[in-house]
Amino acid sequence: MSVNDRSLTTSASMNMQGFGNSSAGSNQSDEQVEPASTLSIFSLDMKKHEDIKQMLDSNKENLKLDAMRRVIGMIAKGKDAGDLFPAVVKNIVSKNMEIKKLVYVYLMRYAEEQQDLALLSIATFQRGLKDPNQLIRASALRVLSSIRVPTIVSIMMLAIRESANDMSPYVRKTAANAIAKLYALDPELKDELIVIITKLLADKTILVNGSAVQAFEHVCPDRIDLIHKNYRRLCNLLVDIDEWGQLTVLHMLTRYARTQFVDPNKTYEDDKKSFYDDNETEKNANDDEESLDKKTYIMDSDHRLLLRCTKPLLQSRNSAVVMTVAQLYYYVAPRSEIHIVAKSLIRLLRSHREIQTIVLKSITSMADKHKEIFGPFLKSFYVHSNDSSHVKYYKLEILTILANASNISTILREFHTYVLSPDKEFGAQAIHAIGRCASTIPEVTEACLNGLVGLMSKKDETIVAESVVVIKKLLQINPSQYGDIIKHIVRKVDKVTVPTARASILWLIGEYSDRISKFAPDVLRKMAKIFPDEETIVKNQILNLAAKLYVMNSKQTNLLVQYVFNLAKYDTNYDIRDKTRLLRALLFQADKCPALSKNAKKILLAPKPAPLLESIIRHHDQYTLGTLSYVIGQAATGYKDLPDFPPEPSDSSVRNVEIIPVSTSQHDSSRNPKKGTTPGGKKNTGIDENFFSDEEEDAEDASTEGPDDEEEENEEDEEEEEEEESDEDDEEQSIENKNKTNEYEQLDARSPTIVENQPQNSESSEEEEESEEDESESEESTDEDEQV
Amino acid sequence: MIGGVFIYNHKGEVLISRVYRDDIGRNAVDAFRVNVIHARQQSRFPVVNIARTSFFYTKRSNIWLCAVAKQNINAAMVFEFLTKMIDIMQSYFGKISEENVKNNFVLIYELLDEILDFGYPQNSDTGVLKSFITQQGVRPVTREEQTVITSAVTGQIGWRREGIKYRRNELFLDVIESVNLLMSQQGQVLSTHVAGRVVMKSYLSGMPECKFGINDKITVENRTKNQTDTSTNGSTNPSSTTATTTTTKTAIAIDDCQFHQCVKLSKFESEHAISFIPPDGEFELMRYRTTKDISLPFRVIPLVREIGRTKMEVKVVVKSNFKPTLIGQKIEIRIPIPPNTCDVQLLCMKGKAKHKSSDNAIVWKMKRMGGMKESQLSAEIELTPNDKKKWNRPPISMSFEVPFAPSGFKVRYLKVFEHKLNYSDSETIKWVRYIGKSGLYETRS
Repeated sequence: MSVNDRSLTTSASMNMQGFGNSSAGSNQSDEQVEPASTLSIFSLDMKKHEDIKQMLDSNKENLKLDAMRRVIGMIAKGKDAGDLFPAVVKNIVSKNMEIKKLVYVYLMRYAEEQQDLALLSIATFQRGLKDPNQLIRASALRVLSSIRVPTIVSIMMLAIRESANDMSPYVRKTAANAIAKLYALDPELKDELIVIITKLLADKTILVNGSAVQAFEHVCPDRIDLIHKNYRRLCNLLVDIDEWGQLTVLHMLTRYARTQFVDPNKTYEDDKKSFYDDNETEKNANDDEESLDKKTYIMDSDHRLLLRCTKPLLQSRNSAVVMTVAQLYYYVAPRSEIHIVAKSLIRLLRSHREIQTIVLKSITSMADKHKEIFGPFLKSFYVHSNDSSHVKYYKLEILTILANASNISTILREFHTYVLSPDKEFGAQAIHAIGRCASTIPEVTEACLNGLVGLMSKKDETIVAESVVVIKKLLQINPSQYGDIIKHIVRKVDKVTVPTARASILWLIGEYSDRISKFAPDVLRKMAKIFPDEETIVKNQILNLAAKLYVMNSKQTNLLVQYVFNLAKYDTNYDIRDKTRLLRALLFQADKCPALSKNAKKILLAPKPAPLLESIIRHHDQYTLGTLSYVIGQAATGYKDLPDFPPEPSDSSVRNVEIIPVSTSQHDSSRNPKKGTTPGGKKNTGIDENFFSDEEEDAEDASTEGPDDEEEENEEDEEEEEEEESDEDDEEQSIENKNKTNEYEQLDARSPTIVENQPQNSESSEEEEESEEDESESEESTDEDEQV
Repeated sequence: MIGGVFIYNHKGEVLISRVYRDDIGRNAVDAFRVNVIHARQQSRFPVVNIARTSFFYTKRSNIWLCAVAKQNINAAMVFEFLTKMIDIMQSYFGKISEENVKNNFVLIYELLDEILDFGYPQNSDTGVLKSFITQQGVRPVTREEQTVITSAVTGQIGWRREGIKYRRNELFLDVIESVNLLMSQQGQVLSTHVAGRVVMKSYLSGMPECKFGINDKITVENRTKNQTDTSTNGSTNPSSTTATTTTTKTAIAIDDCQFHQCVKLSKFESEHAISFIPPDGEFELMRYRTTKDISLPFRVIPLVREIGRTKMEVKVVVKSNFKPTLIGQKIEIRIPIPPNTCDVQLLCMKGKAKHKSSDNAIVWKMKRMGGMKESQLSAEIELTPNDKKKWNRPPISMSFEVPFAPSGFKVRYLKVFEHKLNYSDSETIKWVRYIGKSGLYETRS
């Protein structure tokens, strides 16, 4: 029987009991009835509450509990249960944890509205704060701090101050959480709270660290000096803090690094550039200068510590943590090291659609700045048919950014399949992307153009239209070579029906009429015939075409142009009429404005700047990556830019800690008993680093470490066994795995003897195997002895 | 700094609303309903900003879950929290549906209260939550239970409590891989990757330390290096080269992996060792991704011929590409056909094939298929003349289940060390199972 069923049936039976029992309960509750019941308007409602109230006043615990559940149910649905306040609050003294908890929930919601009555409950919390059980102390503090009643500010302050010194780390953590709440209630207390925060920041247990930093971020993010002394410890403990705490600490550390260390790329920049240009066989001549530059920059050891300690977190299962580490690397790491985040970000593309969208958006910005890091993962950005439209656009954008001369052919082939996808809008975007690739990579411009021209013969209108528009832009960038394409497009003008595409074609004809002087007047003739039925945007371009042709070749087109202008003069659209008036004055009435008319040709056929093929997606790079502001493209409340690196590094000695904190090592050994046996060396550095950064130490004294060594040997043995067994594996499987589908096999029992002894129906004989396993274990060890 | 959490049904009625911060007005609930749920817009960005309040939402089978925030918070964190919340709710009452949410108002409200404190996410491990948020009636909590709960909630290791005891120490490992493939019509692999998960069910006493070994290239290579180093200097080159060749054959290159929070990441980083103290019961130990040397269990070879404007011939060959002793299951191939199909004649060697006109597809199902086999389906499709637009063949997709890991992933060992209690590694019963499933397995036709 599932939990829900049970709770349903109990609540149903409770109702029955509730009525039967009401007479017993009502005696006690008489005093409490009047103030609340007057509030409700609907009689039905009133009755319902009446019934709950009686249940609350009864002396049976299960009735009370059921009543509380119904009250909370009402709150959850958004109904008002405020009139039950007195009846609920007195249950706070209940011995039953479940009831107590629900009363707490109720209090948090309604205390603000009924402050006077809420004060009655305060004494209970104060008692709770002194309870020997740490869980009760913590929850009392948590609820007390959640009650938003200004009159108890001083009580809260006292409670927090006491709890911050509590023995239990869990209570201290709760105290840290409460700080933000109290600050929200009364910002005046800032200075007092900072004192407590300073104390909590120095706490030695990982449980507290996350919440302490959270409080710091909330109350006094500008007091970066409080972090100095704790910086190294926070870095070292980072991997062990809980995942939500890691997020806050990472944010804080990013900011810290940006204010305390110098830009690792600044002096490095030119050098790095030449490094990446190597591929393109462009070596800079001034090598000497750069190597000098390189020597001048040595990364601060604390800066390095941060990067080293955050790197393991890329393996976290929490995608937000991975994102945040990636962001930290993006802002803080030297350019040559950013690439390590790529792999992990690619992995996040496998998670839920929403996270995928956020990650892709961030990758877009990162790829824009550091193309090379995502280059190897090109294929991960291929679009799948079930991607959401935003995901598709971001992938397209990333592919476009990553395109270069070496991979462009595969990308173009991929784009080509997108163009034909059933999602028309996406197809159009893909064409646009092809255009962008063509304009940025000169080697493929021609191929792209040909491809686009090919697309124009497709039946689909949106595809044709988009291709024309993109071709137009491309031609404009480099018109000299492509006379043939222009001719090809001109022939299309009758078939294309989408207005924007028609307008683009007409504009092209007008602009490059000198190249197709034979066609152009004929096109105008055709257009003149259907002028009244065209869309405004097309009419506009017909007028442009007429005017340009008149300037170029007035003899042949004079009458035609006059005709078009006359049609336009009586058009329904005033823009068209105005434009006609302007053009007529310019071309035919030279006496009215001689200065302009003289220059008509210059005006109409002025060289136009080529358009930039821009991304379809707006970047929000001005905001810090991964934050809400970045995602929605506008500054959210409380948004602050990440500060720039200072020109001079701060004094690193401020981070020195004189005394070696002993408790951290204790804690570590408690979690990891094997480590406790290793001797902690290097005390003179004054940092507790050596306990956590195993890599260096292990490399140094691998031989002295007893237990680890032993393990390694074991593993080697295993390895040998594995190899030995690998050929037997097949044999075994052929016997055992006839008709094998998805069944468990035993992990260690693999030696051939087992297989022979084993009955075929392996599932039914688990018990037997258990005993056999020991045998097999000994079997294996003898085998191995022989081998050695 | 999440300002509030709302849950709506598909009609936009509020099922649960919980506001944590003052800056979220009571009208925010309605703003989301009007602007997102009732707006008939097909696909929207997962974050919507309405009147300077941001709504992060996701939808699970008709239920909308929405987190609200005004402050500048980490967007990925909010979604991570929402998915966590969904996981927790699922583990409490199964599928997220309107009925289940309605039946568990109180529970959800209590949970929301626990996992978010003033909008800051808190420890959200299901195991721990379940130990003290229960839906059992008035059961007096004994002192012992009280201490168990206390140690679970306040403990340093958030995912395991002390004093677990089993008569039989047993553990199960599931290696579940999903193969993703995109193949061109010419049979060229455009992209392929395996997303794998290792799910562990542990029934172990005490606080066991586990060490987990896989045939990952880096670990294996490190080991062979050590091996060759430790073996006497007399051993000449040939022997060491044979060692490396045998290992590279069995080792796989893992592109990337992530672990459950119990795995000591610092140790993985430095020694490439996966060691952890497991939570009790079922949990996902690691996830990984590989892209190299994937053995594709099935190959689909489509042949589409259009005969005139009203007829089409489709021939699809499926080849299984694994050991003949193994058997693939639940094979389903979905062949899209044009929407203007009027009649389909099907012929298949094995299994059952059906024309599903509602999906515009032929669905071909086979219960099982042995390794190194081949099967064929041919279909004649009659079309009603339709010159509106050309049909742009969507890819053929396939789903299946096979009893091996297509990436070549192998569990090499899992060792259990428990120092305080008296049971050794060899007494623990360990089971492994490999399941290969299809992810997005598409062949362009």
